[in-house]
Amino acid sequence: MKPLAAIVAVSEMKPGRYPQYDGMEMYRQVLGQFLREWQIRPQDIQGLLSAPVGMAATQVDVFAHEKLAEELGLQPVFSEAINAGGGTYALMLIRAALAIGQGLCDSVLCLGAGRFPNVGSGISELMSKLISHPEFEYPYGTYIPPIFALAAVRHMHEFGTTREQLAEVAVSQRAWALKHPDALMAPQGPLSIDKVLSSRPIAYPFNLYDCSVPSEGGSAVLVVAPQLARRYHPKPCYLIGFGEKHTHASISQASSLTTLGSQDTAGRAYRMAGLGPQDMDFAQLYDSFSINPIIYAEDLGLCRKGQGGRFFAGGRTAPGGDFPVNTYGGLMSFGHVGDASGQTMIVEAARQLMGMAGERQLPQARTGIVHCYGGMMSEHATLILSNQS
Amino acid sequence: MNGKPVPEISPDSRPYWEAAQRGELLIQRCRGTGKAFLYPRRWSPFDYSADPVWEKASGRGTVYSYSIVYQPPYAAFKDDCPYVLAIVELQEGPRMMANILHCTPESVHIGMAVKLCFETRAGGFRIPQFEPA
Repeated sequence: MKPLAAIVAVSEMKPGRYPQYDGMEMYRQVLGQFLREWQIRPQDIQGLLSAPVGMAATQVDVFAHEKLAEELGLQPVFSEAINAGGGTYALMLIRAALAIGQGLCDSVLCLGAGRFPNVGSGISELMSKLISHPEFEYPYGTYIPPIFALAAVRHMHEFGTTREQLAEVAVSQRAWALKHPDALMAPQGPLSIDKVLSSRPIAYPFNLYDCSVPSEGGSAVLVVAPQLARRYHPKPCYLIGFGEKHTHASISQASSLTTLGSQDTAGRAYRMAGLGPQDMDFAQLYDSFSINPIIYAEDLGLCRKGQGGRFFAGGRTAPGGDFPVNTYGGLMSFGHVGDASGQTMIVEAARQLMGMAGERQLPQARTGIVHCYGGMMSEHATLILSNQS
Repeated sequence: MNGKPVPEISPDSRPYWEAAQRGELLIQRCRGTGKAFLYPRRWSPFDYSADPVWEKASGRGTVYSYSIVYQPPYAAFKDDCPYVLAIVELQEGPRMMANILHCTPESVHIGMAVKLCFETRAGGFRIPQFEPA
C-alpha cells in the first residue's frame, strides 16, 4: 500500500445549537478551536477546501473558501468550495490527495461548519424541494426520513431485516457515544431496543431514535504530503485507498435501494489499497438513519449482502464487540451537524488511527474504512485509512 | 383547496402534465433502444437519441417500496398524516414516486398491485396518484 496523503491534525466543535453565530462565524469558531489545539502556522497551509457557507439556510455563499483564506492570511495555490452533501468531506480528502499527488501543493486544510434545521421549521418545505425532484417527487410530500425509509422497507422485504435489527444500530452507537465527551445524546444514557421501538413514529419503519440528531457544528482536517506527515504528528493517519461514485439525484431514479454506489466505491478503494474487508479493524459509516450502516456494512463487504441486520445484532459492533462501528456514536448519537456532518466520521477515524480517541480508543486500530454519502444516498465515497506506512 | 405543492412545469414535461389534466399518464420511449423511461426528458438517457416517443401508460403497476409518514414535513401535509409515500413500478418498467390513496396506510405492502388515479390540487391541477387495483 502506498500512502497518498496524510491527516496530521483534526479538530471538531462540540455539536449543539449555536443561534448566536452566523454561517461565517461558525467557520471562525471551527478555525479558532483548530488553531488553539494545533501548532499550525500560515506556511503550513498551501491549499484550502471548504463547503459553501449557509447550505442549510436560504442564503448560500459559494465564495466561502476565498473569504476563509483571506481571514487566515493565505494565498492558496489550490482552493475551492465544494459540495456533495454528506459526501463533501470525503471528496475533499480525495481532492486534497490528488492535488498533493500531482505536486500542486504539500498541504490542504479541509473545513466545514454546518447547520441542520429542525423538521417543521420555516425552511422545511424548501429543503423538501431541494432534496427531491422538484417536479416529480416534491409534490408527493417528500422529506428526508421517508425517502431513506424507502430503502429500509425494501431491505426488510428482500432480506427479512427486522425493526429490532435496525434498533440494534442505534443501541450500539449510543453505547459508543457514552464514551465521547462531546456526544450530544450521551447525557440521555444508554438506549435499548425497546426504547427505540417505543419512541415516537416518524416515517415507518423509523421511530425517533432510528434518526440522526439535527444539530450544528463543524470540523477542520489538515492533510499533508505523506513524506511530511511525521513532522506534524508521530502517528499520522494515511489515506491509502479511495473510491467515488455518483449514482442518481432523485431517489425514484435509483436503480436499487438496497445495493448502493457504496459497493462500487468500496471495490475501488480496496483495489487501490491492495487490501480487503478482512484487513479492516473498524468502520465509520455515515448514518442518517439506522438502515444506512446496515447497507454499507454489506456493500463494503464486512458481511454478505442481506446479512447487515445480523451484523449489528447482539452488540457485535458496540464497545467490547468483535467489529467496532461508529466508535464516536454516529450521527444518531454524537449529532448530525448538517452540512458539516460528513467530516465527523473522518475526524473519528483519524483520532482512532492517531491514538487520540481517549476513552473509546480501540486496542487494535491500524487500518479502518470510512464510508460517506451525500444527497438521497446519491453521492458515495469510501476511504481506507491506516497508520501503517 | 389545500396548500400542497403544485409542480412548476418545465418545457420538457408539458405534455406529461397536460395529459394528467385529461386523466392520462404518459411515459417516454427511447427511439434507439426501445426502452421506456420517466421522468420526461428532451433526449433518451440510454443513448441520447432525440425526441423520445410519448406513450400512454397502462396505469397499472406494483409498489416497489413505501413508507408511512407520521410526522408531516411541513404544514400542508399535516392533515394527510399518516400518508403513504411510495415508489411505484409501472407495468411498462419505469418507476415513479406517488402516494397510495384510498386505503389504510398499514395495508400497503411491497408487490401490492396498484392502479392510476388522480388527486386535484390548488387551481384544479391534477397530479397522478395510485390506489389499490
